[in-house]
Amino acid sequence: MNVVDILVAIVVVTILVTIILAVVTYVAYKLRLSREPRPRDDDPDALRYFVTFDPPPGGSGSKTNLDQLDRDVADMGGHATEA
Amino acid sequence: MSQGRHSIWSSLGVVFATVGVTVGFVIWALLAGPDIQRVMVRMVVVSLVIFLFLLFLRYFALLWFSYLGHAERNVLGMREIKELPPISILVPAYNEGRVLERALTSLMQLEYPEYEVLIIDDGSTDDTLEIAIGWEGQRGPGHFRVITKPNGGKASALNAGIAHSLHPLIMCMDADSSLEPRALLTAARHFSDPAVGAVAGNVKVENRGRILTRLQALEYIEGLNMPRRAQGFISAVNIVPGPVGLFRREALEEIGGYDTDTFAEDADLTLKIMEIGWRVEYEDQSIAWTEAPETWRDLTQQRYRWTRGILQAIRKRKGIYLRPFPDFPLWISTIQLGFEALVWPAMNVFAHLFFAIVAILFGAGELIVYWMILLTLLDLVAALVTVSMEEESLGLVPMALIYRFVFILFLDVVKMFATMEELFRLDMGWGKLERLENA
Repeated sequence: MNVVDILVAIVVVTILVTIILAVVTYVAYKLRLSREPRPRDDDPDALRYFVTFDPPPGGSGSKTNLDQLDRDVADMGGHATEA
Repeated sequence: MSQGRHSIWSSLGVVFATVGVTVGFVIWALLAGPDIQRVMVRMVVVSLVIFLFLLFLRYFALLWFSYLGHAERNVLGMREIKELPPISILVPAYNEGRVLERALTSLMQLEYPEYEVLIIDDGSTDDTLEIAIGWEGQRGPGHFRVITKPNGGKASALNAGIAHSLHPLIMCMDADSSLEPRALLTAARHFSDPAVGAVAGNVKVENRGRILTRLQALEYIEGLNMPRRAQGFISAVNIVPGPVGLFRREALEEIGGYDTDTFAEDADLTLKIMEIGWRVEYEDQSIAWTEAPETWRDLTQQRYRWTRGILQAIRKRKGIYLRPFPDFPLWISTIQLGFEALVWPAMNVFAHLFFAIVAILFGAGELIVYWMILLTLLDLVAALVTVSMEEESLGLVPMALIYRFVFILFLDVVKMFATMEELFRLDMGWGKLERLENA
């Protein structure tokens, strides 16, 4: 077996092993993710990912904006205040 | 059936279908007659040439433009600014109690005349809020404040921070990152140009004790910062990274802050800023150190989220692909984003798989070995150039030997599956990386 044959073997084995390991790792990641508790999707019209907070237009940082923020967050069931 | 089960079976279906098609192809190739086998060997040669052409084109375009950006900076020096405007630094934190202290310590040591630090506790269930409260008050030139809100995700935390912030420039960072003392000073100078809406900083990997994290350190330099430097030359950086990005308040207000409908809020925000005409630049001296995933599983999780997030951001503005003018830099930047997320990973995986199969079945191994040697040399040169440009440790360069055939190939398999899941719009969760606190 010459050097090129050894290199061919190394390259091919490396490629195949890497791809197989990546597939196995990916499946393991998805399996782990599926076992984590997740909220039920009760409202099909709700946003898919996060609760939205839209900063009010005009002059962020003003008293008006902070009041609006407090009102928005209160609607979400919490409070946003400087701790 | 719960969302979780739906997702796992769909994901496994995608994996099994892909593996099935590959195995089917191998069996078909084995059973095929000599004529078809000859055609396949010719296809390998043609594929090698096309693949090499695209690879060289991509590398040389990125290397050339990043060199131009680097040279421009070295010749012209840093941009002068008459007055340094005060900056608000936003630190969104969800269960970051183990790493928050390190981030805040770095913010206390910034070389900048006036800034405030807003720590936004996003409904953490650990001791994040208590640690943050302990930092409240004036610390050197920085005034530290704490905001707490119910959990709503990073984008909503940053939006809350923007609403509470006071200054005309806003720095967004991650709670698991730390800033270099001159990070604000170097980035703020770009805003002497009134057309600049945002500046992307330079993210570096801090934990380099393992081969996996050293590979990521090289990837950040060669695979992320080099393209960013090249894009910076045309003022069209397509991702202002989460760990270090400085924004003009006016630009953030004009676009209405962060959207909450993608998993790559940084890419989405950057594209929004560019869409309305602001320029986005890159500053390699505005450095943030971040903790990279230390296990292959955590790396898989991170890249899965990045890939799907970028594809979601692209999906929101797919019309751009048909409008190269009037904003050509935005168009080229978005094309590159789509190419790197969608086209290149799939091409890379299938090329390697195809070449390996043909090498085994039809004895074309010698050709493929020479091709691999050529690519490795190219990676070594690119690593040497980019590591030198960033004045980084040359000890990272040898990582280029396994960079493409192990690390990038692994990541591209993950990106390919993530792409397929996004195309089928499968459900996804956020997940949170395990912090090892050994950066």
